[in-house]
Amino acid sequence: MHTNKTVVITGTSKGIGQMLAGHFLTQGMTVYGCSRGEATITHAAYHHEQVDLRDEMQVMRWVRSIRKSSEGIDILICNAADTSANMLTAHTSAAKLNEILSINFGGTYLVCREVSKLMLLKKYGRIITFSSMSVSLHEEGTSAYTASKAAVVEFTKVLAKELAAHHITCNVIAPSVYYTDTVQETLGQEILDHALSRLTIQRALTDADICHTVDYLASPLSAQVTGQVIHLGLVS
Amino acid sequence: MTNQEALSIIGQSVKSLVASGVIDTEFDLQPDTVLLGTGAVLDSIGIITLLSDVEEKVSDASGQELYLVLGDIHDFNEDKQNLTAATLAGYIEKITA
Repeated sequence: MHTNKTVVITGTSKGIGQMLAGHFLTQGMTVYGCSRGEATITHAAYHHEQVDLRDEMQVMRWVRSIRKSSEGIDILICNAADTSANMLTAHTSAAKLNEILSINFGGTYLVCREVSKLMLLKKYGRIITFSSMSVSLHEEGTSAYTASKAAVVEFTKVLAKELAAHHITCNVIAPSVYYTDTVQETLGQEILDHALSRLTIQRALTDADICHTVDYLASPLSAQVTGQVIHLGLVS
Repeated sequence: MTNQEALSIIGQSVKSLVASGVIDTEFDLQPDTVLLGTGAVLDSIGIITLLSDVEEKVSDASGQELYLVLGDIHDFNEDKQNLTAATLAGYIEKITA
């Protein structure tokens, strides 16, 4: 479906980012991924860079290196996120708040800013950012994380307007429960079960659920879809 | 990089972006051509694409890792209302020195 295209994915060392990188690689695409750690994917068409998305210069260097080694970027998926701030607002330090905001929102902002410049040169692009069901749930203990993910939503909607005339679409996926080691370690089964009970579709997401949604938003066929938030599972 | 070389690169970028359809309006680049501000030949997206292209060309030509950040160019520009091609060339001359 996407053969010969170039996709950039943030946060490919684990979880959804790693799964999506594998998905696109099996379709014959070239994937540029990043994480703070070393690569966890080995594939001839996979190119990894260790990038701290809080660092503007690192992001600029990474995107420039992609520009030099590719013929442009067709698809951007901003998936990287820090989910570690599960604490009440009263216990959240300014440092922790800033860390969460700068990775989850700031990183998304910087990568979108740099990649969209390249997409403008091609007059084509598909940008997909990741929010979370937490924006709809408003659960206690998630204030920093939820605020960061709400910021991603509003940012993406504005970016969609800025880029619409240039055939670049920007959409958000808000996944519900997707089991990863990190999610299960960080949240625990009790919280995940509670989250599942709040969903319209009360089951955890499969890889296919996410891939099919991403495939549609990443496709030329979704040219009229921009500034949208796809709530997988839908919080009731 | 001299001011004239920088101007030449800006001119090359304008031509290539017009030829590829990225910039809609064709214009003859002169040192006093306003790129951003009152009477600018480019819209806000146009200036972004021009700076991206110039940035790459200047980096390749100079062999330096350079980034053209609009805020930094604005700080360099004495005429805060308008950015001309000559001013942009002057900024490039400065950062490549």
